[in-house]
Amino acid sequence: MPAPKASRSSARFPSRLAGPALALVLLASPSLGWAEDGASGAAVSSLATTTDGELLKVQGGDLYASRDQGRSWIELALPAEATGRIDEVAVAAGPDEALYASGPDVGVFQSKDDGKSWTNVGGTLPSLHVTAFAPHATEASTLYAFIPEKGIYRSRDAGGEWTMMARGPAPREGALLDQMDAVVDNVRQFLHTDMEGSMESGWLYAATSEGLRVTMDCFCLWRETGEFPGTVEAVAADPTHPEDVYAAAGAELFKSADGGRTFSTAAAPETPVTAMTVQAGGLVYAGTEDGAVLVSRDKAAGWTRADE
Amino acid sequence: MSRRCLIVLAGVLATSASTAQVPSPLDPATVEAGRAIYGENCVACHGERGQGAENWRQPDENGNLPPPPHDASGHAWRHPDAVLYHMVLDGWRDPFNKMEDLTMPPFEGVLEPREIRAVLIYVKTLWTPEQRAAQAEESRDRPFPDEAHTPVGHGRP
Repeated sequence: MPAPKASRSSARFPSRLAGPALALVLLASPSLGWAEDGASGAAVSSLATTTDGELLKVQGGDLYASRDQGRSWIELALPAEATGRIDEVAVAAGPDEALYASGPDVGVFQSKDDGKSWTNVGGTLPSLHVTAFAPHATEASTLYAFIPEKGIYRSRDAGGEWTMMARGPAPREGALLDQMDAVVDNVRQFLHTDMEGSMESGWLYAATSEGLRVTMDCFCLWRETGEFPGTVEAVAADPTHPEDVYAAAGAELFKSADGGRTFSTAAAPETPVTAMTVQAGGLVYAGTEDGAVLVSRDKAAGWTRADE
Repeated sequence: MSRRCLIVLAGVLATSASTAQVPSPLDPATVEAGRAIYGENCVACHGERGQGAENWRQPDENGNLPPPPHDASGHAWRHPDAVLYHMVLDGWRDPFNKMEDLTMPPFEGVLEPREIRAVLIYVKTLWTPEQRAAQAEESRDRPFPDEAHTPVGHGRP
Protein backbone atom coordinates (compact mmCIF):
# COMPACT_ATOMS: atom_id res chain seq x y z
CA MET A 1 0.00 0.00 0.00
CA PRO A 2 1.70 3.22 -1.06
CA ALA A 3 0.27 5.45 1.67
CA PRO A 4 1.88 3.77 4.66
CA LYS A 5 5.23 3.75 2.88
CA ALA A 6 5.12 7.49 2.41
CA SER A 7 4.10 7.92 6.00
CA ARG A 8 6.91 5.69 7.18
CA SER A 9 9.57 7.61 5.32
CA SER A 10 8.55 10.96 6.65
CA ALA A 11 8.06 9.68 10.15
CA ARG A 12 11.35 7.90 10.51
CA PHE A 13 13.61 10.25 8.65
CA PRO A 14 13.36 13.86 9.70
CA SER A 15 16.05 14.70 7.12
CA ARG A 16 13.21 14.94 4.65
CA LEU A 17 11.72 17.79 6.62
CA ALA A 18 12.74 21.36 6.04
CA GLY A 19 15.61 22.55 8.21
CA PRO A 20 13.69 24.71 10.74
CA ALA A 21 10.98 22.14 11.05
CA LEU A 22 13.59 19.47 11.71
CA ALA A 23 15.11 21.51 14.51
CA LEU A 24 11.71 21.96 16.10
CA VAL A 25 10.96 18.26 15.86
CA LEU A 26 14.25 17.33 17.46
CA LEU A 27 13.86 19.84 20.26
CA ALA A 28 10.31 18.85 20.97
CA SER A 29 10.88 15.14 20.85
CA PRO A 30 13.98 13.93 22.66
CA SER A 31 13.29 10.40 21.48
CA LEU A 32 13.80 11.41 17.86
CA GLY A 33 17.26 12.45 16.87
CA TRP A 34 20.33 11.44 14.96
CA ALA A 35 22.40 8.92 16.77
CA GLU A 36 26.06 8.19 16.27
CA ASP A 37 26.31 4.62 15.09
CA GLY A 38 27.66 2.54 17.93
CA ALA A 39 28.13 5.59 20.10
CA SER A 40 27.11 3.73 23.19
CA GLY A 41 29.35 0.79 22.39
CA ALA A 42 26.60 -1.53 23.52
CA ALA A 43 26.07 -4.77 21.67
CA VAL A 44 23.57 -4.84 18.83
CA SER A 45 20.96 -7.28 20.08
CA SER A 46 18.69 -7.36 17.02
CA LEU A 47 18.62 -6.40 13.35
CA ALA A 48 15.72 -6.44 10.89
CA THR A 49 14.99 -5.19 7.41
CA THR A 50 11.91 -4.06 5.54
CA THR A 51 11.22 -4.94 1.92
CA ASP A 52 12.08 -1.41 0.82
CA GLY A 53 15.54 -1.66 2.29
CA GLU A 54 15.10 0.06 5.62
CA LEU A 55 17.36 -1.35 8.32
CA LEU A 56 16.35 -1.51 11.98
CA LYS A 57 18.50 -2.25 14.97
CA VAL A 58 18.19 -2.59 18.72
CA GLN A 59 21.26 -1.45 20.61
CA GLY A 60 21.48 -0.97 24.33
CA GLY A 61 17.71 -1.33 24.57
CA ASP A 62 17.11 1.52 22.12
CA LEU A 63 15.59 1.25 18.68
CA TYR A 64 17.12 2.81 15.57
CA ALA A 65 16.35 2.93 11.86
CA SER A 66 18.53 3.55 8.84
CA ARG A 67 17.47 4.23 5.30
CA ASP A 68 20.96 4.35 3.84
CA GLN A 69 22.08 0.79 4.54
CA GLY A 70 23.46 1.57 7.95
CA ARG A 71 25.51 4.66 7.19
CA SER A 72 23.36 6.83 9.47
CA TRP A 73 20.67 6.12 12.03
CA ILE A 74 17.79 7.83 13.73
CA GLU A 75 16.43 6.78 17.07
CA LEU A 76 12.80 5.69 17.18
CA ALA A 77 10.42 6.03 20.08
CA LEU A 78 10.08 2.99 22.30
CA PRO A 79 6.76 1.64 23.54
CA ALA A 80 5.88 3.94 26.42
CA GLU A 81 4.15 1.13 28.29
CA ALA A 82 7.13 -1.21 28.11
CA THR A 83 8.28 -2.08 31.60
CA GLY A 84 11.60 -3.55 30.58
CA ARG A 85 14.33 -3.38 28.01
CA ILE A 86 13.62 -4.02 24.34
CA ASP A 87 15.85 -6.76 22.98
CA GLU A 88 14.36 -7.58 19.60
CA VAL A 89 12.79 -5.82 16.66
CA ALA A 90 11.06 -7.63 13.81
CA VAL A 91 9.14 -6.71 10.68
CA ALA A 92 6.00 -8.66 9.80
CA ALA A 93 5.17 -9.83 6.31
CA GLY A 94 2.45 -8.17 4.29
CA PRO A 95 1.89 -4.70 2.85
CA ASP A 96 1.73 -2.98 6.25
CA GLU A 97 5.02 -4.44 7.45
CA ALA A 98 4.06 -3.90 11.07
CA LEU A 99 6.96 -3.51 13.49
CA TYR A 100 7.21 -5.68 16.57
CA ALA A 101 9.36 -5.01 19.61
CA SER A 102 9.87 -7.59 22.34
CA GLY A 103 12.05 -8.41 25.31
CA PRO A 104 12.33 -10.60 28.39
CA ASP A 105 10.47 -8.13 30.60
CA VAL A 106 8.46 -6.50 27.87
CA GLY A 107 6.16 -8.99 26.17
CA VAL A 108 5.30 -7.95 22.63
CA PHE A 109 4.44 -4.52 21.23
CA GLN A 110 3.26 -3.67 17.72
CA SER A 111 3.53 -0.48 15.72
CA LYS A 112 1.64 0.13 12.50
CA ASP A 113 2.79 3.70 12.09
CA ASP A 114 6.52 3.19 11.84
CA GLY A 115 7.26 3.42 15.53
CA LYS A 116 5.31 6.58 16.28
CA SER A 117 2.93 4.66 18.51
CA TRP A 118 2.94 1.20 19.96
CA THR A 119 0.21 -1.20 21.01
CA ASN A 120 0.67 -3.96 23.55
CA VAL A 121 -0.20 -7.18 21.70
CA GLY A 122 1.18 -9.51 24.35
CA GLY A 123 -1.62 -8.92 26.79
CA THR A 124 -3.01 -12.42 26.53
CA LEU A 125 0.37 -14.09 26.88
CA PRO A 126 0.85 -15.66 30.32
CA SER A 127 4.02 -13.69 31.00
CA LEU A 128 6.10 -10.74 29.81
CA HIS A 129 9.12 -13.01 29.74
CA VAL A 130 9.43 -13.25 25.95
CA THR A 131 13.02 -14.25 25.12
CA ALA A 132 12.47 -15.01 21.45
CA PHE A 133 10.01 -13.69 18.92
CA ALA A 134 9.48 -14.04 15.17
CA PRO A 135 6.82 -13.11 12.68
CA HIS A 136 5.77 -15.66 10.04
CA ALA A 137 7.71 -15.32 6.79
CA THR A 138 4.62 -14.81 4.65
CA GLU A 139 1.51 -14.58 6.86
CA ALA A 140 1.20 -11.01 8.16
CA SER A 141 -0.88 -11.91 11.22
CA THR A 142 0.98 -15.01 12.38
CA LEU A 143 3.49 -14.50 15.18
CA TYR A 144 5.58 -16.76 17.40
CA ALA A 145 6.79 -15.99 20.91
CA PHE A 146 8.78 -18.07 23.37
CA ILE A 147 8.32 -17.88 27.13
CA PRO A 148 10.90 -20.20 28.73
CA GLU A 149 8.83 -21.33 31.68
CA LYS A 150 5.76 -21.90 29.50
CA GLY A 151 6.54 -22.70 25.89
CA ILE A 152 6.01 -21.51 22.35
CA TYR A 153 2.92 -19.42 21.67
CA ARG A 154 1.43 -18.66 18.27
CA SER A 155 -0.95 -15.90 17.35
CA ARG A 156 -2.82 -15.89 14.07
CA ASP A 157 -4.42 -12.50 14.56
CA ALA A 158 -1.38 -10.29 15.08
CA GLY A 159 -1.32 -10.76 18.83
CA GLY A 160 -5.02 -10.64 19.66
CA GLU A 161 -5.00 -14.21 20.95
CA TRP A 162 -2.10 -16.50 21.67
CA THR A 163 -2.24 -20.29 21.72
CA MET A 164 0.40 -22.50 23.27
CA MET A 165 1.76 -24.80 20.58
CA ALA A 166 4.64 -26.72 22.16
CA ARG A 167 7.10 -26.60 25.01
CA GLY A 168 10.14 -25.87 22.86
CA PRO A 169 13.40 -27.44 21.77
CA ALA A 170 14.59 -30.17 24.12
CA PRO A 171 18.05 -30.16 25.72
CA ARG A 172 20.55 -32.53 24.17
CA GLU A 173 20.06 -34.92 27.04
CA GLY A 174 16.32 -34.41 26.96
CA ALA A 175 15.40 -35.65 23.52
CA LEU A 176 13.98 -38.88 24.84
CA LEU A 177 10.28 -39.22 25.36
CA ASP A 178 10.53 -39.47 29.13
CA GLN A 179 12.14 -36.03 29.26
CA MET A 180 10.05 -34.28 26.68
CA ASP A 181 8.91 -31.64 29.15
CA ALA A 182 12.45 -30.29 29.41
CA VAL A 183 13.47 -27.41 27.18
CA VAL A 184 16.69 -25.61 26.42
CA ASP A 185 17.19 -22.95 29.08
CA ASN A 186 18.11 -20.16 26.77
CA VAL A 187 16.32 -19.64 23.45
CA ARG A 188 17.78 -16.38 22.21
CA GLN A 189 16.11 -15.92 18.87
CA PHE A 190 13.47 -17.34 16.56
CA LEU A 191 13.52 -17.18 12.77
CA HIS A 192 10.63 -18.27 10.56
CA THR A 193 11.23 -19.08 6.89
CA ASP A 194 9.07 -20.36 4.07
CA MET A 195 11.61 -22.86 2.82
CA GLU A 196 9.86 -25.64 0.92
CA GLY A 197 9.33 -29.09 2.35
CA SER A 198 7.43 -28.26 5.53
CA MET A 199 4.30 -30.25 6.27
CA GLU A 200 2.70 -26.94 7.17
CA SER A 201 3.66 -23.46 6.03
CA GLY A 202 7.33 -23.14 6.88
CA TRP A 203 10.12 -23.69 9.36
CA LEU A 204 11.01 -22.21 12.71
CA TYR A 205 14.68 -21.95 13.70
CA ALA A 206 15.77 -21.36 17.27
CA ALA A 207 19.17 -19.95 18.23
CA THR A 208 19.79 -21.47 21.64
CA SER A 209 22.42 -21.99 24.30
CA GLU A 210 22.69 -25.53 22.95
CA GLY A 211 23.15 -24.91 19.26
CA LEU A 212 20.75 -24.28 16.43
CA ARG A 213 17.41 -26.11 16.32
CA VAL A 214 14.77 -26.25 13.64
CA THR A 215 11.24 -27.58 13.40
CA MET A 216 8.51 -27.47 10.83
CA ASP A 217 5.95 -24.94 11.98
CA CYS A 218 3.58 -27.71 13.00
CA PHE A 219 6.06 -28.21 15.88
CA CYS A 220 6.11 -31.95 15.19
CA LEU A 221 9.78 -32.45 15.87
CA TRP A 222 12.71 -30.25 16.81
CA ARG A 223 16.01 -31.34 15.43
CA GLU A 224 19.51 -30.04 15.90
CA THR A 225 21.13 -28.64 12.80
CA GLY A 226 24.75 -27.77 12.24
CA GLU A 227 27.48 -28.55 14.73
CA PHE A 228 27.43 -25.74 17.24
CA PRO A 229 28.58 -27.03 20.62
CA GLY A 230 27.77 -23.81 22.43
CA THR A 231 25.49 -20.85 22.10
CA VAL A 232 24.23 -19.68 18.75
CA GLU A 233 23.87 -15.93 19.14
CA ALA A 234 22.04 -15.15 15.93
CA VAL A 235 20.42 -16.80 12.94
CA ALA A 236 19.16 -15.21 9.72
CA ALA A 237 18.00 -16.30 6.29
CA ASP A 238 17.60 -14.67 2.90
CA PRO A 239 13.87 -13.99 2.53
CA THR A 240 14.03 -14.62 -1.21
CA HIS A 241 16.23 -17.71 -0.90
CA PRO A 242 15.31 -19.20 2.47
CA GLU A 243 17.73 -22.08 1.96
CA ASP A 244 20.52 -19.54 2.55
CA VAL A 245 20.84 -19.54 6.33
CA TYR A 246 23.50 -17.80 8.43
CA ALA A 247 24.38 -18.54 12.03
CA ALA A 248 26.76 -16.78 14.42
CA ALA A 249 28.33 -18.78 17.24
CA GLY A 250 31.08 -17.41 19.44
CA ALA A 251 33.70 -15.76 17.26
CA GLU A 252 32.67 -17.77 14.22
CA LEU A 253 30.14 -17.37 11.46
CA PHE A 254 28.60 -20.13 9.40
CA LYS A 255 26.42 -20.31 6.34
CA SER A 256 24.23 -22.94 4.78
CA ALA A 257 22.86 -23.18 1.26
CA ASP A 258 20.43 -25.98 2.09
CA GLY A 259 18.32 -24.67 4.92
CA GLY A 260 20.70 -25.82 7.61
CA ARG A 261 21.26 -29.43 6.60
CA THR A 262 24.93 -28.56 6.18
CA PHE A 263 26.93 -25.52 7.24
CA SER A 264 30.28 -24.23 6.09
CA THR A 265 32.52 -21.67 7.71
CA ALA A 266 32.04 -18.10 6.53
CA ALA A 267 34.25 -15.09 7.01
CA ALA A 268 33.65 -13.70 10.48
CA PRO A 269 34.00 -10.08 11.56
CA GLU A 270 36.76 -9.39 14.08
CA THR A 271 34.24 -8.91 16.87
CA PRO A 272 31.68 -11.59 17.74
CA VAL A 273 28.37 -11.23 15.95
CA THR A 274 25.33 -10.78 18.16
CA ALA A 275 22.60 -10.08 15.58
CA MET A 276 22.01 -10.73 11.90
CA THR A 277 19.51 -10.02 9.17
CA VAL A 278 19.42 -10.58 5.43
CA GLN A 279 17.78 -8.18 3.05
CA ALA A 280 15.90 -9.62 0.09
CA GLY A 281 18.50 -10.15 -2.57
CA GLY A 282 21.24 -11.31 -0.30
CA LEU A 283 22.68 -8.25 1.45
CA VAL A 284 23.75 -9.63 4.82
CA TYR A 285 24.01 -7.41 7.90
CA ALA A 286 25.73 -8.31 11.15
CA GLY A 287 25.58 -6.43 14.43
CA THR A 288 28.49 -7.00 16.76
CA GLU A 289 29.28 -7.21 20.42
CA ASP A 290 30.97 -3.79 20.34
CA GLY A 291 28.03 -2.05 18.69
CA ALA A 292 29.12 -1.97 15.05
CA VAL A 293 26.94 -2.88 12.10
CA LEU A 294 28.70 -4.56 9.20
CA VAL A 295 27.48 -5.47 5.75
CA SER A 296 28.41 -8.23 3.35
CA ARG A 297 27.54 -8.07 -0.32
CA ASP A 298 28.96 -11.50 -1.13
CA LYS A 299 27.09 -13.89 1.18
CA ALA A 300 29.41 -13.45 4.15
CA ALA A 301 32.64 -13.92 2.23
CA GLY A 302 33.77 -10.46 3.31
CA TRP A 303 32.56 -7.63 5.54
CA THR A 304 32.81 -3.86 5.66
CA ARG A 305 31.48 -1.44 8.25
CA ALA A 306 28.08 -0.20 7.18
CA ASP A 307 28.94 3.37 8.17
CA GLU A 308 31.98 3.56 5.90
CA MET B 1 6.77 -41.09 30.76
CA SER B 2 7.17 -39.19 33.97
CA ARG B 3 4.19 -37.82 35.91
CA ARG B 4 5.49 -34.29 35.40
CA CYS B 5 5.75 -34.94 31.70
CA LEU B 6 2.17 -36.14 31.53
CA ILE B 7 0.96 -33.08 33.39
CA VAL B 8 2.85 -30.73 31.08
CA LEU B 9 1.71 -32.56 27.98
CA ALA B 10 -1.88 -32.46 29.16
CA GLY B 11 -1.51 -28.76 29.75
CA VAL B 12 -0.22 -28.21 26.24
CA LEU B 13 -3.06 -30.18 24.76
CA ALA B 14 -5.68 -28.54 26.91
CA THR B 15 -4.42 -25.09 26.00
CA SER B 16 -4.17 -25.95 22.34
CA ALA B 17 -7.71 -27.23 22.34
CA SER B 18 -9.13 -24.50 24.47
CA THR B 19 -10.89 -22.78 21.62
CA ALA B 20 -11.88 -25.93 19.77
CA GLN B 21 -15.33 -27.46 19.57
CA VAL B 22 -16.05 -30.94 20.88
CA PRO B 23 -15.31 -33.16 17.88
CA SER B 24 -18.25 -34.84 16.20
CA PRO B 25 -18.51 -38.62 16.58
CA LEU B 26 -16.69 -40.66 13.97
CA ASP B 27 -18.87 -42.77 11.68
CA PRO B 28 -18.44 -46.40 12.87
CA ALA B 29 -18.65 -47.89 9.39
CA THR B 30 -15.98 -45.54 8.09
CA VAL B 31 -13.81 -46.28 11.11
CA GLU B 32 -14.05 -50.01 10.48
CA ALA B 33 -13.29 -49.60 6.78
CA GLY B 34 -10.34 -47.40 7.68
CA ARG B 35 -9.08 -49.92 10.22
CA ALA B 36 -8.96 -52.60 7.52
CA ILE B 37 -7.18 -50.27 5.08
CA TYR B 38 -4.70 -49.30 7.78
CA GLY B 39 -4.02 -52.98 8.46
CA GLU B 40 -3.22 -53.63 4.82
CA ASN B 41 -1.24 -50.51 3.98
CA CYS B 42 0.12 -48.74 7.06
CA VAL B 43 0.87 -51.30 9.77
CA ALA B 44 4.24 -52.35 8.37
CA CYS B 45 5.74 -48.90 9.00
CA HIS B 46 3.52 -47.20 11.59
CA GLY B 47 2.78 -50.22 13.77
CA GLU B 48 -0.30 -52.22 14.60
CA ARG B 49 -1.48 -49.74 17.20
CA GLY B 50 -0.07 -46.70 15.46
CA GLN B 51 2.92 -46.68 17.78
CA GLY B 52 5.44 -45.85 15.01
CA ALA B 53 9.05 -46.90 14.84
CA GLU B 54 11.29 -47.00 17.88
CA ASN B 55 13.35 -43.81 18.27
CA TRP B 56 11.27 -42.13 15.60
CA ARG B 57 12.58 -38.76 16.72
CA GLN B 58 16.13 -39.74 15.82
CA PRO B 59 17.01 -39.32 12.13
CA ASP B 60 18.85 -42.28 10.59
CA GLU B 61 22.33 -42.13 9.04
CA ASN B 62 20.85 -40.55 5.92
CA GLY B 63 19.10 -37.85 7.86
CA ASN B 64 15.76 -39.45 7.21
CA LEU B 65 13.10 -39.74 9.86
CA PRO B 66 11.76 -43.17 10.83
CA PRO B 67 7.97 -43.61 10.58
CA PRO B 68 6.37 -41.60 13.38
CA PRO B 69 3.53 -42.81 15.58
CA HIS B 70 0.00 -41.95 14.62
CA ASP B 71 -1.40 -42.48 18.09
CA ALA B 72 -1.67 -39.87 20.82
CA SER B 73 2.11 -39.80 21.29
CA GLY B 74 2.67 -38.69 17.71
CA HIS B 75 2.01 -35.50 15.80
CA ALA B 76 -0.52 -36.46 13.14
CA TRP B 77 -3.18 -34.70 15.19
CA ARG B 78 -1.38 -31.40 14.71
CA HIS B 79 -2.19 -31.41 10.99
CA PRO B 80 -5.53 -30.52 9.39
CA ASP B 81 -7.42 -33.01 7.25
CA ALA B 82 -6.27 -31.50 3.96
CA VAL B 83 -2.60 -31.81 4.90
CA LEU B 84 -2.97 -35.39 6.12
CA TYR B 85 -4.90 -36.32 3.01
CA HIS B 86 -2.22 -35.01 0.67
CA MET B 87 0.50 -36.54 2.80
CA VAL B 88 -1.00 -39.95 2.10
CA LEU B 89 -1.91 -39.22 -1.52
CA ASP B 90 1.31 -37.54 -2.62
CA GLY B 91 3.84 -38.76 -0.08
CA TRP B 92 6.34 -36.40 1.46
CA ARG B 93 10.08 -35.88 1.38
CA ASP B 94 11.81 -34.55 4.45
CA PRO B 95 14.21 -31.92 3.10
CA PHE B 96 16.74 -32.95 5.73
CA ASN B 97 16.79 -36.39 4.11
CA LYS B 98 20.14 -36.70 2.32
CA MET B 99 18.75 -39.27 -0.12
CA GLU B 100 16.38 -38.65 -2.97
CA ASP B 101 13.89 -41.19 -1.61
CA LEU B 102 10.61 -39.97 -0.28
CA THR B 103 10.27 -40.14 3.47
CA MET B 104 6.62 -41.15 3.18
CA PRO B 105 5.63 -43.05 0.01
CA PRO B 106 2.69 -41.79 -2.05
CA PHE B 107 -0.52 -43.81 -2.14
CA GLU B 108 -1.93 -42.26 -5.28
CA GLY B 109 -3.12 -45.12 -7.47
CA VAL B 110 -3.03 -47.44 -4.48
CA LEU B 111 -5.84 -46.00 -2.38
CA GLU B 112 -9.02 -44.33 -3.62
CA PRO B 113 -9.72 -40.86 -2.23
CA ARG B 114 -12.50 -42.21 -0.03
CA GLU B 115 -10.13 -44.91 1.26
CA ILE B 116 -7.57 -42.29 2.21
CA ARG B 117 -10.26 -40.40 4.06
CA ALA B 118 -11.42 -43.60 5.81
CA VAL B 119 -7.95 -44.54 6.98
CA LEU B 120 -7.41 -41.05 8.36
CA ILE B 121 -10.73 -41.18 10.18
CA TYR B 122 -9.63 -44.46 11.71
CA VAL B 123 -6.35 -42.84 12.79
CA LYS B 124 -8.38 -40.20 14.63
CA THR B 125 -9.67 -42.92 16.95
CA LEU B 126 -6.09 -43.27 18.23
CA TRP B 127 -6.02 -39.68 19.52
CA THR B 128 -7.30 -38.21 22.75
CA PRO B 129 -10.57 -36.22 22.69
CA GLU B 130 -8.53 -33.05 23.25
CA GLN B 131 -6.30 -33.83 20.29
CA ARG B 132 -9.30 -34.61 18.11
CA ALA B 133 -10.90 -31.33 19.11
CA ALA B 134 -7.74 -29.37 18.32
CA GLN B 135 -7.34 -31.15 14.99
CA ALA B 136 -10.97 -30.48 14.10
CA GLU B 137 -10.35 -26.80 14.75
CA GLU B 138 -7.29 -26.83 12.49
CA SER B 139 -9.34 -28.63 9.82
CA ARG B 140 -12.11 -26.07 9.78
CA ASP B 141 -10.39 -24.03 7.07
CA ARG B 142 -8.50 -26.92 5.58
CA PRO B 143 -10.88 -29.90 5.35
CA PHE B 144 -10.59 -33.04 3.28
CA PRO B 145 -10.72 -32.29 -0.45
CA ASP B 146 -14.25 -32.42 -1.84
CA GLU B 147 -13.60 -35.46 -3.97
CA ALA B 148 -12.84 -37.47 -0.87
CA HIS B 149 -16.20 -36.83 0.73
CA THR B 150 -17.99 -39.80 -0.76
CA PRO B 151 -18.59 -42.16 2.16
CA VAL B 152 -17.08 -45.60 1.96
CA GLY B 153 -19.58 -48.05 0.46
CA HIS B 154 -21.48 -45.34 -1.41
CA GLY B 155 -19.93 -45.78 -4.83
CA ARG B 156 -16.67 -44.80 -6.38
CA PRO B 157 -15.90 -41.17 -7.19
